[in-house]
Amino acid sequence: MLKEYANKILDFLINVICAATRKCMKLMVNYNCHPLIPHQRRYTQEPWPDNVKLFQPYEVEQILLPDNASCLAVQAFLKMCNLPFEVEMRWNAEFMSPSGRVPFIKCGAFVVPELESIAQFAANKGVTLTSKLSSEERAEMRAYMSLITNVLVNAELYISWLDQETFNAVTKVRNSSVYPWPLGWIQTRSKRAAVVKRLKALHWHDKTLDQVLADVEQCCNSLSQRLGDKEFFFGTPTELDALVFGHVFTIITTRLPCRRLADTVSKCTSLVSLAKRIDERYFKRP
Amino acid sequence: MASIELDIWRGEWGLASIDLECLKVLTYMKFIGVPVKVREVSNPFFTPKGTLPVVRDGRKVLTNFEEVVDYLKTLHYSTDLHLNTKQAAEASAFTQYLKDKLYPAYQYCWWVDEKNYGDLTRPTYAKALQLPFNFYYPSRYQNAAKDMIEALFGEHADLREIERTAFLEAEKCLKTLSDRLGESEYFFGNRPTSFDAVVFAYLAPLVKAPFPNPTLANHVKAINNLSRFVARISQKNFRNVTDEYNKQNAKKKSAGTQSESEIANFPNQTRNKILAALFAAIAMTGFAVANGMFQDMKEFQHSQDYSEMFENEEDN
Repeated sequence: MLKEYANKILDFLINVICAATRKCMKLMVNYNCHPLIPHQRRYTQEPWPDNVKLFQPYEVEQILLPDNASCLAVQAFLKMCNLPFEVEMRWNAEFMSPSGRVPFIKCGAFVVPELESIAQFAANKGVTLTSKLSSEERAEMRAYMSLITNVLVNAELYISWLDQETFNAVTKVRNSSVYPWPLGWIQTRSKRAAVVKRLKALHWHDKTLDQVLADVEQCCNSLSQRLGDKEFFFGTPTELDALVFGHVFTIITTRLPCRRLADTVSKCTSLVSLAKRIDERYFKRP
Repeated sequence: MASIELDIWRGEWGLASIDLECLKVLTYMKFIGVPVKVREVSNPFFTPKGTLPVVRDGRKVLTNFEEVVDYLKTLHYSTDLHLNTKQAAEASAFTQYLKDKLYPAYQYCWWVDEKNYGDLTRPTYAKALQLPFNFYYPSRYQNAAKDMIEALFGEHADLREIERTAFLEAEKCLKTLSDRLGESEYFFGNRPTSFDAVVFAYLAPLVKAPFPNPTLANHVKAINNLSRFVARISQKNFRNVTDEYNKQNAKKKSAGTQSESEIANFPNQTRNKILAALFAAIAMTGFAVANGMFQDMKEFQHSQDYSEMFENEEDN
């Protein structure tokens, strides 16, 4: 009982400290950004500028599995659209982002987070990968993207934050590596509480690791059945291919203490070869 | 085989059940035609998770739609046998899509929107529940829905922003569903599947329940082929429920609706009146005792002088 109360008080204090820290970090942003306001349509008629920057956490020491997958997916999407951009690594990228999630791009005076909004933003500027798809195929694409967001992203969050082995060996170390000691511990604790709350609300918290992996396997089977032996899901590369690439490539190339997620995904050979193909085409230096 | 029992929330407004999960399971069972005993339960206290539906078959207890579909498949009851693997994959992807985009808006509309919750959801569940529990369960479900909405849309501080975003996503989702359905009878050919059961369960309450704040409901009703889809399945599989509701409606219209609706809104009028009278009586007695009036009354009984009593009152 006493432990419960102590934990509750500790969590409350940590919440207060983190809110204050977040406010300070927002002030440390070194330029002015305005989140994209929907009714300012006239600004979006300008063509894609040359100095677009993609912000993400540090790749080598800091970034975690789910964030890495999202960042890679967005990079693949921008490369497929032939839109030039530069990658900028910042330790406080997630606090600079308007939605709290990485990656986000800074495009002129606008800051746009996450793949769906970025795809919409590019479409407003006339750049889209789905122009040749019928409306039914576009509907299917959105459904499959939801499938990945609901299953793979939540599975990655589960493995990174709820699996004790991975959390202690990888997540805790990487997340707190960019802060001085007490702040790192506080920040990791509060982030874990937020992730647990989210997974509880989505009914993922009570699942066992086996159930999570079974869901992942079903998701990968659905995707590989849709892909069949085609080169891309809909003939030409689309944001669905970028998203699948981001998640599959990250999962199979990230070394975690728990190898089971990577093994489950590697079983779907068509998805793995799709990921390798996209990597060859868009990410290898000539 | 007739040993399968299904416990669900009761129905209202021409629906077989007011709850999403119950409607999913019930519609699926109607599609298959499996013999099942349906019970309208008013007390979810004894269920494994505190929610309905609950499917019991001998020793086996199942609580959600996916488990029920898998179990019926083992008993060789399934509507999805005519789907090839590609369609099955598409169905599972679309189910996730509905869960991702439409479910938050649905929960917001039912539980989080203040007007809808106060005027529609809570009275309906209160009517369905027995007395002690009708204070507890609706607020528990509301808290669960609020947590989910916060987890998904936490970065928006304003409830109206959340509503706008959620309904925008739901609108896109409904349009996608409508595009996918096109002019065909069901989503995958002309035989219903588990996916059709899921879509019906989402759309039917939105179409039929009289929401005070009908934003999402209007979106659904504005899409013709989805409304026709709901009507078609209602006609085919829930004809007795809709007929009963229409009969009740006609009776209400002829007998004068005012008292009926009042009774529906205030189901415990007599109880409230008795409680109020009791409370007033206790309050007045307490006041009288505090002022020592009973003492005076006792003295009055012993004293024969009428005017003496008035003297004492003035002194007080």
